[in-house]
Amino acid sequence: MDIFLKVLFSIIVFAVLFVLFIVLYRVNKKTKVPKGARELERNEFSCSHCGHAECKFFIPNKEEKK
Amino acid sequence: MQTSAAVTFILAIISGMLVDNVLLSRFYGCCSFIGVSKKVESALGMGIAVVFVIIFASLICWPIYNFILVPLEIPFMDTITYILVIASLVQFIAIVIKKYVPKLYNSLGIYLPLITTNCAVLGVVQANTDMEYSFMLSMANAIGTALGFLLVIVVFACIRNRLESANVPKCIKGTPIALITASLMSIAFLGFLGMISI
Repeated sequence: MDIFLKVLFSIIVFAVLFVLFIVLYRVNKKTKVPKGARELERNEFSCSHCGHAECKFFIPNKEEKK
Repeated sequence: MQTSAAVTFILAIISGMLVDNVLLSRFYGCCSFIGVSKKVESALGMGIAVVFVIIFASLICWPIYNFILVPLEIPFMDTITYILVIASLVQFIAIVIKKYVPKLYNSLGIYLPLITTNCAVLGVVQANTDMEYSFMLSMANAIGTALGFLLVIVVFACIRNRLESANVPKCIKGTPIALITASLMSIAFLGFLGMISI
């Protein structure tokens, strides 16, 4: 096969896959983490020292103190 | 002795999972193996994400190579094609996890986009091409390798979890004991060597 055709096909294959990647990347960037999930994590009353929710020596996180 | 296709398929899965384990025998994907194995939940999430990426990457890359790159006489484009396919798959998974399992998305952090550069994924797809596997055999190899990755990362996370409360000398606490554990696991997996001979 002609070298010109090989180069052309290579560029086409690369371009198609690259466009697919860019589209998915942009969709991913626009997708936001739901707010509820973040709040759920912040409201988990975990001990800032050991991380357990039912710690005997409970030391609340800085955010919870406020 | 001749083995049927189904038996070969199952043996290839077991071989990829235990005998020729991607993490402990071939040492691919060690960065995420050490990085995301502190919590069992994160390790499980990472393992499932990698399983998904490896299987779908093999499923997509095999036809691309055999039905597009080879007929067009551009097989030299294989690696760059695989990288783009894997990168796109990872973006797709990131969208799904972000939308439906946001807690897992937060705990995976930087390691989720780093699956793109996980050599375990590229290694499997490239091996399928280099060894000239048939479609079924390449799928068996992908499933076996992916399950092997999941198994080892979850077991390792469980061991590290137990090590947190164990009485470990201060000088080897943390990463050093984790590396020693990984090496012992690697030696343990050597026990599977020679289990299967096709």
